[in-house]
Amino acid sequence: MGDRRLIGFAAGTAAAVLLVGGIGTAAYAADVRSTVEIALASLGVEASDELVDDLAEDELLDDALDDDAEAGDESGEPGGDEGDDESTDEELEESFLAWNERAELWRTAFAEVKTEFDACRAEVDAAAAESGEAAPGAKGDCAVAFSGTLQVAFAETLVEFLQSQEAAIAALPEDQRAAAQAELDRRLDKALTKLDRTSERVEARDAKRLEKALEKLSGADKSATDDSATESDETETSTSGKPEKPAGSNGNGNGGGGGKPDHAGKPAGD
Amino acid sequence: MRARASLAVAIAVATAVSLAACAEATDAAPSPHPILTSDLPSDVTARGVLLAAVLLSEGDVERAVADGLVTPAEVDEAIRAIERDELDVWAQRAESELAED
Repeated sequence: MGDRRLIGFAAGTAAAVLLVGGIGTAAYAADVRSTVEIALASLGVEASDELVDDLAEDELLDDALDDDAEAGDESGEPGGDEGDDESTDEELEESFLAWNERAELWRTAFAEVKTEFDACRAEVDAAAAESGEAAPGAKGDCAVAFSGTLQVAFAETLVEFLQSQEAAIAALPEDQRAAAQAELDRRLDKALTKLDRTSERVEARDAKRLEKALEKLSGADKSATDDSATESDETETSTSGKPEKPAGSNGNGNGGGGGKPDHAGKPAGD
Repeated sequence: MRARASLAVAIAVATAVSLAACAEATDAAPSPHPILTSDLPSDVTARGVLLAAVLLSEGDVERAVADGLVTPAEVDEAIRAIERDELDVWAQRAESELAED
């Protein structure tokens, strides 16, 4: 009786958690959607509901929009509710300046990682052409590795850029130097924290994927071993007097583990 | 007298022909905006340009680039489009690509 009550309570709690979580997620998604809609409208774009939905569906967009909100909180600025034209223009101007300041670094970092990605895809294609069938998920592995390497490369780029500003500060008049140095130190601290977090996140994700791949591989090996064992049993029972070697040395691809080109997507320096 | 009449007829015919040609020229549909028809580089999509524009306005575009959400080329295009007031053309292209999917 007590058990039944306990199970009922647990089920009720789980349902409540799911319900609250669901409502929270829905509200959050609606928030992102309305932010996208408002931003487009403020830029003079009339987009269909379908297009706004499509743009807002990306989970990563939540993060990029969140970050800005956090930055706004940090600086003590209001959230920018309706956003009059003037402040929108000012914000855009600031964004343009910030982007132009580092755009060349982003382009270079992107081009370098893209070269690695293209090589990974080419290797997957070549392996598929050789074996006659595409390894499942191999192209996706390239994409995942690409995004991880890209995130780390960009975080490194930001740190390198800020470190390169030391010389510019040294060239400033003495009365401006201290304030500029303090601002640079603040930004550098933030960038280094971001680099650490990004590296940890990407490493953890890579480790998880590697673990999964190894599990899959050992599962495949196990089933291949089981298959060949069954086969050898069958061979032994059906060809009783024949002194044939049990199939094991060159059975069904046992020990080869081939067709796993996903290591190709693993970033070299990661 | 006859020569004058034939000259008048010739002028009338020539005027009619040129007016017809003009009318045809004005009836012809204006050529579509290059953004709608040009082949895009592999690292640019209309959707990405719009997302970049949204993030330039309301978010952290560098974080989005770092997350692989938009490319540097898409941010460049978004800035160009905002400055030239062409973002709605990119939206048109995104709408038509979405309809094709």
